[in-house]
Amino acid sequence: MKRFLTVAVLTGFMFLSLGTDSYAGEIDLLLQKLVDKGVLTPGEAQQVKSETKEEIRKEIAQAKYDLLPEWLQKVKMKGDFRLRYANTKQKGSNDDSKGQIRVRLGLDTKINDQMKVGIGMSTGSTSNPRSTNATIADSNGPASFKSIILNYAYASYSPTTWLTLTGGKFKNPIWQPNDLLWDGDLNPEGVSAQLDYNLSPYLGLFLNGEVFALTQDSPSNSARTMFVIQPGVRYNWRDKVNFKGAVAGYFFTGLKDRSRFTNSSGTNSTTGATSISGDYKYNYNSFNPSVEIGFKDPFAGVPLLAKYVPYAGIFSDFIYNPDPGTGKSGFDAGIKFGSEKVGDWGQWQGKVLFAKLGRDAWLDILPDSDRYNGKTNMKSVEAVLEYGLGKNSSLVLDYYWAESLTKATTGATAGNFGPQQVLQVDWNLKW
Amino acid sequence: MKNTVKAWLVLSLLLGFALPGYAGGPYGENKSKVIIEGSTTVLPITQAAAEFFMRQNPDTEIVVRGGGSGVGIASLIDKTCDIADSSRAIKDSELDKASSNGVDPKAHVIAMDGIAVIVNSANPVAALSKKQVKAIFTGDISNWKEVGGKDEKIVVVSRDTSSGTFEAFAALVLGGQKVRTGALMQASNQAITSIVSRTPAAIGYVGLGYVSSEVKALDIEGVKPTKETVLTDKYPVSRPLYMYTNGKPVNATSDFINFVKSREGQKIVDEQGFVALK
Repeated sequence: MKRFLTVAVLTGFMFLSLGTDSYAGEIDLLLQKLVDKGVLTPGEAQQVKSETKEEIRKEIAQAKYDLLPEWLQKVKMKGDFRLRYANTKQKGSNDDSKGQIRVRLGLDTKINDQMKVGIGMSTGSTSNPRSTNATIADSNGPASFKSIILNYAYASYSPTTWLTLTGGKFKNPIWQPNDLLWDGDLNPEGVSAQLDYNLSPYLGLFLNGEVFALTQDSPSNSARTMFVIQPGVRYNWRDKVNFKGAVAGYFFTGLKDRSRFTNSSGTNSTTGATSISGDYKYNYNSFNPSVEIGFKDPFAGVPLLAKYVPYAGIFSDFIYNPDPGTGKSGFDAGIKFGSEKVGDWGQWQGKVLFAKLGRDAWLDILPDSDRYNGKTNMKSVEAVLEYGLGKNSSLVLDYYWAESLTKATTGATAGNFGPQQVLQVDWNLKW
Repeated sequence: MKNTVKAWLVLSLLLGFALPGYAGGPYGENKSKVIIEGSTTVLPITQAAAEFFMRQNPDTEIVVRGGGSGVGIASLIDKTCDIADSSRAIKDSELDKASSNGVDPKAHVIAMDGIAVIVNSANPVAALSKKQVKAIFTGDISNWKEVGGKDEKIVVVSRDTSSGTFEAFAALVLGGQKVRTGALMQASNQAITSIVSRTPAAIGYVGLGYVSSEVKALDIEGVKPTKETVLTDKYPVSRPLYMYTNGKPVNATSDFINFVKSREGQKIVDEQGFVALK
C-alpha cells in the first residue's frame, strides 16, 4: 500500500512539476496529509520529497542533453585565452616590451567507454614547441594574422580504471611540481602508460612510463628517443596535509656525439669551437626526484593569517646527470601560499622559488622558456602573484630574475648573457 | 635497430600491464564488491553500516573511501565507484557531465543531518535567528547582551575544520565565511557538549544526536531542533544526506542501500548522531 502511494505521489509530483515549481508546495501538502493520516512517516515523506526532487532535476538535465545533436553529446570542449604584457631587461641589450596573446582550444571525443581521442589547436609557431604565444604587432607588420598550430592530437585507451595508455602528441604526463625541467607548453610525442592506484582513501601509488620520440630514423642516422620511468606516491593526512613525491629516471638514445637539436637554447656543452656548433659532448641520462607538500589551514588560530592564507605548500625538484664533469646538477625549491587554487573572485596565490640548473644537468630544449630564455647554466629567482578576477578568470604577475652560472663569453662553453629580469602581466580567461 | 628493439621492449613491458591477468584492479568483475566514495560527513554512517553489513554478508566486500562529495560524484560519473556518498544534492554541472558520460545518477536519501546550536543551561537566551548565529560564529557579535543575554563575552566553540559537522554548519549557517579567530576548535561533538556545559558564556553546535540534558539547544528562527522538525524541513540547520548510484542499483549495491534504509541501518544512522528516517 505504502509503495503504491509513494509511486502515486512520485508520478503526480513529476507530472505537476513539468508545469511550474508552485506545484511543489502542493505536493508538500499532499505528503503532509499522508503523514498526518499515518500512511507515511515524516522520514519516509522526506525521503520521497528529496528523491523526487532529485529525479526531476535529473530528468530536466537529461532532456536538455538529449536535445543536443548526437555528435555534440560525445564532445567536450575546453580552452583558454591569455592577454600578456611582457617586459624583458637584459644587461647589454635594450628593454624589450611586447604584448602577446595566446588562445588554446581543445576537443575531447569519447569513442566508447574505454577509448578517447583529443585534438587541440593553439596560437604559436611550429618551430618553437615551448611557446604558444603570438606577439601583437610582430615583425610581419601591423595587424598581421597569427598562425594556428596543432597543439596536440592523441588517442587514449583505459582498459581499467587504474591504467591509461596514450599515443600521439599529448600533454606531458610526467608529474613535476614546477616547470624547471619541462616547459608547460611542451607537448611530447610518443606513447605513454599511466598507472594510478589507490591503496586506501589516503594513500595512492602512480607510475608513469613514456617513450618519447625526439627524431625519426633517417638514411644517415637512427632515431633519437627519450625513455622515462617515474614511480610516485601521494598521501593525505587527515585532509590537512597532502604529500606527493616521485622519482623520474630519464634515458636517452642518440645524443652524445650527435648534432644538437635545432631548437636548442645553446647552453649544453658541445664538441664544436663555439657554443652553438658541434655535437653534444655528453649524455643526458639523469635522475630526478620531485616532492610537493601542501598544508591546509596552516595558520589556524592566528588572526588574519588564518583568514587570508588557507593554504601553504613547499615544493622542490632535483636533477642529476652523472656524465659531465661539471654543471651536472640542478634544483628548484619554493613555497606557495594563499588559496590552494585560484578559480573565483578574491582567491589568490603567491609563489616564490629559487632555481639553479647546471649547464649539462638537463637537455636545454626542455626547460621553461620564460626563465632565462629556457637556458640551462643559470640561477634564478621567480615570484608569482595570481588573483582571481571572477569565475575562471585571473590576473597574474610573474617576475623572474636570472643570470648565468659561468661567465665565459666565447668558445664552446660561452654562456654569459648577463643578468636578466622579466616581468609578465597576464589576464587569463578559461572556459 | 638497437634503439628500435629497446623501444619495443619498453613498450611491451608497459602494455603488459594491460593484459587480462593484471586487470583485476579496483573495478574487477567480482559482483559482490561494492566501492563507495565521497562525503566525509556521510563516511561514519557508511563505515559503520559497511562493517555491520559485511559481518552479515561475508561474501560481499565493501570498500569505503572519503575524499568529499565532489570526489564521490566525480567517481560515479567516471564509473569508478558504485555508490557516491554526498552531503549535498548533485550540481547541475555534474548532471550535465553525467549525461555526457552515459551515467544516470539516482539519489537515495539515507539520513538527515540536523545541527543543534547549544548554550549553557544557565544562559537566559533561548532562541536566535540564523543571521545572529552566523554573526556570533564569525565574530560580528561578541557579547551576549547584543542578542538579549547577559553582559558577557561570548565563548565560541566549534568543531575542527576537518569534521563533517563543521562542513555542514559552514554551508548551512556561515555561508562561506570563516569561524572567528579565537574560537575553541574541538575534535568531537562530546568535547563541545562538555565545554559548553561547564562554561556559562559558551556557544557551540553539535549533531542533533549529541544534545544532552547538560546543555540547552536553542530554537533557530523560532523552531526547536527536534527529529520531527528536521524531517519536515522546518528546522533551518538541516539537510538530506545522499547515496547516489548509476541508475537503479542491482546486486550487492542494491542490498547495501536497502540495508542502510532499513530499520537496522537507520539505527546505525541514529548511533552516528544523524537523524534517522525511520
